[in-house]
Amino acid sequence: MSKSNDPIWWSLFAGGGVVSAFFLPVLIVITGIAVPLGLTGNALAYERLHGIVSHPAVRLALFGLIALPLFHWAHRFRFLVVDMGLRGHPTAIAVLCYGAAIAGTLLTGTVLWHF
Amino acid sequence: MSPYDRPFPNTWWLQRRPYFLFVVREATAVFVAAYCVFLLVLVHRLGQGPEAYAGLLEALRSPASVVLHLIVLAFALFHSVTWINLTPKIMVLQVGAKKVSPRLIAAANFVAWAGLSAALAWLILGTA
Repeated sequence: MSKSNDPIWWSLFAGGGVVSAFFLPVLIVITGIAVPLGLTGNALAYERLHGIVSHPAVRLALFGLIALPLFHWAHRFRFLVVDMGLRGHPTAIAVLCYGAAIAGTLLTGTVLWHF
Repeated sequence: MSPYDRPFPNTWWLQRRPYFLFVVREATAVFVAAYCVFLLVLVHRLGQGPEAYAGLLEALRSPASVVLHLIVLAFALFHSVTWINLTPKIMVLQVGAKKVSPRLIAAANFVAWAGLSAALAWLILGTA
């Protein structure tokens, strides 16, 4: 069987899918509904939230929470674009998609490292 | 193009409901990633100081933010439900000669989803 690096991208896709499926909806409800309705009280105050995010374990969790779904998007979008009709440039599309995810991951790591 | 290639239009996915739902499912990844980019912006603003963070909180209270969040939430929920409904295909458990019912596996994952969401909400919002 010829070697392919698809398993790497698929694994990252799967990790991102699990992370986003289980953790994102509640976060979206918090930032999108609870905050505007004033239901969060003092919980998201600057000092409190800054303290929580400063914790290394929290920053590590945030890294996974942000970076993995980027790879989930990259893998799904790469094939979706072809399904939508953009055939003939498979390598370029793959490089752009995974490249964007890698760039996003590096940016995420930098922001969290220097927090 | 080979004479055996059956040509089909780029609107193939609009022609049948299962095709349409498939494309919607794949498209959820765009909205999921967009929200994760927002999370990165939130963390960045939080690190920039109280004024920058207050600006973002204020933006979250705008109608545009609420509308965007609701759209993203719809796609995120569609992703979660379709993903968890596929877990029985991945987690095939066998007890002796019988396979565990796929619906039980999916149900267990839905329960896990609820539990993890509650735990995360409690971690972030405290016991308020």
